Amino acid sequence: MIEKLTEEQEAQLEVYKDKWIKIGLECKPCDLEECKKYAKMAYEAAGLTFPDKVFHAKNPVEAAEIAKREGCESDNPVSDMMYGSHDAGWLSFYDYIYEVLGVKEVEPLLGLINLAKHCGWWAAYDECVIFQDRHIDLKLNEDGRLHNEDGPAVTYAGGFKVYAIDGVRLKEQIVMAPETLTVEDINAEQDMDIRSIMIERHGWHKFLKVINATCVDERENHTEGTLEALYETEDFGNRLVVTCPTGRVFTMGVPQEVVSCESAQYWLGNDEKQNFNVIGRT
Amino acid sequence: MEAIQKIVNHAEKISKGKIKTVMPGKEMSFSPACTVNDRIWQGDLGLTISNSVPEGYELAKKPSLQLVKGNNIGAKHCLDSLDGVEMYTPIGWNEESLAGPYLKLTQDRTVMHPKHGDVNMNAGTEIHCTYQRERDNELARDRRARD
Repeated sequence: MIEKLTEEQEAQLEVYKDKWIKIGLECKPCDLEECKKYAKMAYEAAGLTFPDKVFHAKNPVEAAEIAKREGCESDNPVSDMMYGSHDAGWLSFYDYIYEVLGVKEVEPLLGLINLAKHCGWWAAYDECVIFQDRHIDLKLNEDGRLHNEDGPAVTYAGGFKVYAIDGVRLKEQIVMAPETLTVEDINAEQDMDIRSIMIERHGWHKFLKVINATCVDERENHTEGTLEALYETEDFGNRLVVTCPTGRVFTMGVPQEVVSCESAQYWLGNDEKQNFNVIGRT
Repeated sequence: MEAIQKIVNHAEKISKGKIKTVMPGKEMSFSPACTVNDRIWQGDLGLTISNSVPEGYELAKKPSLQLVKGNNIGAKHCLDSLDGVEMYTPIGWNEESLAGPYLKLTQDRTVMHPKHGDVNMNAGTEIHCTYQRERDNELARDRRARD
């Protein structure tokens, strides 16, 4: 029974974290021979026979098509897939406790642990195995979430792409052609994260105009030399629309109880007690 | 005219340089008469004259010119130099923090930005960097935490 980590073992946590983040973000194609070797280990650990038929797909869509063609898919071929390199999150834990802490009970997982280092998603059927290449490009934000405002966040060979902003998966249209979004499209979206990104990209001030949001306050901000208006919305709280000294228009959310432009500025400045004296904004 | 339309028109005038008091990229300075709690906003970065390092701060071992976490253009609020700057940063400073570096200046320094005007700060002052709140991000974080 391990009750406490030594200093050396604790220091290795960081090493294994970095090692597995690198594995999870790897963009190289799959190494088919290595994949076969380690998938066979995984089959054997599960008491199954490794099938004769092995396929190689460039991306998840191609893999699903192969599964369908071979007649081995379930209702949803994507749910049949294991995540290979994307299983890094949980496999890292077992790799650490096997290699650093020497816990031998992890051995049945060694096939999966090693497979993750050599391929993207994969599917293990009785009739065949389908290995996939990893993505060829990945764009992340500072928090490590999928993020690209100008193109796909994940690109696979063969044309399969995933669009995402701040970790929220989006339709291509939202990222690449936000000017074509209609208010109907926006209102039809049920997911609040997606909806708010859609409005952001469509343009908040345009959206507020079209939905006839109620203006509850407006003023000239003499300190900043700009104009401001506060709008009430049903689903998004109150929104302060302002001119920026750079000549752009910004719309910022404030809580529903903020009902004047002045108090909205105090809230945004985290200065509800009005301790600070704003000289100006550039 | 609708308030939004007035704002859009006003922004257009600003961008075309038709409003003399608000020029894109206009430089601002703390005057020698400025006192504690006077604040200049450079976009969403608040630069406030202060007089004591807040609790929960530590002397930065590797101070950065950039005063806002992040890689996008909006985050590129940067000091012109670290000469004459003693920088303290919040312990555990990250992109969600509403408070940023605390600067003790022994030389005049400038905060620059690709879109906003420069902000000039005087030697002998202490400046606390804070950030504008972002309600949408706060709500998104709450939703993520609930998931």
